[in-house]
Amino acid sequence: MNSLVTCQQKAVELTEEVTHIFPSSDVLPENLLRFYVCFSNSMQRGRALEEISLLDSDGQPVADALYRPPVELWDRSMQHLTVLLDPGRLKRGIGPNRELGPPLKAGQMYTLAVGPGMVDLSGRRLHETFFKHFNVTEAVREHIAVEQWKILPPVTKSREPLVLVFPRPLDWALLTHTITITSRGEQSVDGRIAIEQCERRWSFTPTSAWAAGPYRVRVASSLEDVCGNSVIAAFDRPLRSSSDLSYEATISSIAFDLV
Amino acid sequence: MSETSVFGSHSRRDVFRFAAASAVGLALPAGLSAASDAPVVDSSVSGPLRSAGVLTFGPDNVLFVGDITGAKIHAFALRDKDLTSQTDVVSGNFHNFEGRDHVVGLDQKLAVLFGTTIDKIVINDMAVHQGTEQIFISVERGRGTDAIPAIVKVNHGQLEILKLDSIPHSQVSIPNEPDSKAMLEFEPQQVYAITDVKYYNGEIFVTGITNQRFASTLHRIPYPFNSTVATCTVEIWHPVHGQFETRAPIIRKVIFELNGEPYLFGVYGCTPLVRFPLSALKDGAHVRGDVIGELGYGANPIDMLTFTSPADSKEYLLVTIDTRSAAQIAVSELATAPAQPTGAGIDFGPGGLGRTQRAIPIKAEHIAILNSKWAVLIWRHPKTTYRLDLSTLALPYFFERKDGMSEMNWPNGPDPFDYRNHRNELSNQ
Repeated sequence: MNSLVTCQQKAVELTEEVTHIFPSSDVLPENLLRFYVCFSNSMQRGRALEEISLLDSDGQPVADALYRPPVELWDRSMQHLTVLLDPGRLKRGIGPNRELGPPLKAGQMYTLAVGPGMVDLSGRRLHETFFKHFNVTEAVREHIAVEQWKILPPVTKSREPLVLVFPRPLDWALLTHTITITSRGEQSVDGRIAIEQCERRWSFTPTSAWAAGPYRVRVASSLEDVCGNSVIAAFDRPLRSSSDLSYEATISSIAFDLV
Repeated sequence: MSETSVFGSHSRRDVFRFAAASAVGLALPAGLSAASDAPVVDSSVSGPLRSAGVLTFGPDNVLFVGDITGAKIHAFALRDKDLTSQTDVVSGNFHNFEGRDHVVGLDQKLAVLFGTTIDKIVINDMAVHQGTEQIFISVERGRGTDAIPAIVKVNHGQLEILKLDSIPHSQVSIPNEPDSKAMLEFEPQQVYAITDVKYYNGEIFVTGITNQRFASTLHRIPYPFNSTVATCTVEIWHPVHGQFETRAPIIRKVIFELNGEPYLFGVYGCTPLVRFPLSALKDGAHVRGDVIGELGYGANPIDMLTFTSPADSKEYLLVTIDTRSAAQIAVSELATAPAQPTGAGIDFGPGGLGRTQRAIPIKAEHIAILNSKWAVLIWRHPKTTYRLDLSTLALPYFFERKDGMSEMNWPNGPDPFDYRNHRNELSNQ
């Protein structure tokens, strides 16, 4: 039995595969901005244009739907690739949007396909083409309303997680670092997070047991949802008057007390 | 053929592919054979670089390099010995619009130089040092986290690697999100992909696109570096259904003075061409650019530059685009072009850009101005798409007569521009 498990483990390590594509949900909004394609190994750049495509419900490539950035948008480990939908088609009123319409249409089914030509650092190809099938629902055009989040505070003196539940899925990568917990005196609390339920649930397990006292959940304004709507404003938002423009960066916070 | 490899062994497959390429008989220039030098790729080559991306020259022979992995802009103050005049190199036959290949098989020769195969060579940018007309290229050997960055220069058709660790150097870090303590075991890191660096009047202007938040930051950094960085964000406005604004990363830009005022012209990733007075780009500001044109759907800008036409002595802006012809617009129109609502057809009337806007059928992976009569490109000829060449192309039409049908190719054909009499006029200008 043990040797069987070991053999299987070895087999997995010898291949290279897509481990996940975010957003996790298989129902995505029409104005979806980005995917994160996650690979089991560190990858080589240069094949994304050829190997990654958006297919319609007949399996045909959707023309001009994915953005071609000047450099492939890898993270530092080169295990996570950001694939954007064409912002020119997403932004209402911009030329490509007027000529071609948005990249996705509500009510349709699509597939993001990642082909086997994606090669890892050792030259290994993907085990097989990876498909993420999804249905498209209506667009989301509002900012992230932190006040609508549900907070499930932990029990004092335990190491139970603090849980936040969001009314709609948020951006996976940004969720990993835009929400922090501070205790009395702005002290940052150490712990580990988990992102679950298709990025609608964020939980934080502290390294040490929760002490009684006041806490704040701090949310950076750079947090976005899957459509690029941030805490400050929707992705495309009503024009502000030109006298009023400045760089907006606030920290929203939710306070809770443990007694 | 030398098998010494500084960075791990060639796989059997790589060796056979390399041998096959040699067997085909690559015409290597004299003095550069596959056998002669072991790959000269050690730490003296990369110096402080962790990656080698966008290039631009500043004053006093300073070469700025965008380093995405290191999240820095580097400034290398090239010394006289790092530069060799190339003004005697023959550019082609200007009268007859015939350019020359300066380096045939640039990627093949870089592969030999770095002791690897073509698929492991990435060419990121090209810049020309105006005084010497010497061409500099940013290269990476390898396509993964182990990629080795380098700067290569062209010297009379030969490729030479700069030893960056010996060149006087300074650097500045690009502000990124504050480092949070990793709270998730395998956290995806936010990376700011620097897409353009330009120098103007004592400052460098840095723009890029991140892999996480849809940010549109522009950094103004004084040079010489003193660790101040001014940051603003830019956007566009588009009047539909009550008018919207969105964040819009600038992909490429040029800065120059019009009517005594400095302006920044940029191309956004969502295709508009925009204009900002430089004075508006202040620290902490969120600036809305005037849209003065659009590149059209599916078009992603590659390079953006200005040049003076040898035909009419006027200045033009050129934007090369990945899937279609380049767009060329007279600079004189740029100051006065009215701000357009996006999505409207570009105004081709007397008031708009359309009067001098022209589509130029160039397909260049990289382009730069070499001198007053020539541009230089890294491109693939349709007959030899397996390799990249570095070639000249005559201004102002970017037209290579050898590749086109021309009446004077026929023995008794008409020759209204008198090409036949200028057939053998090669020049270095």
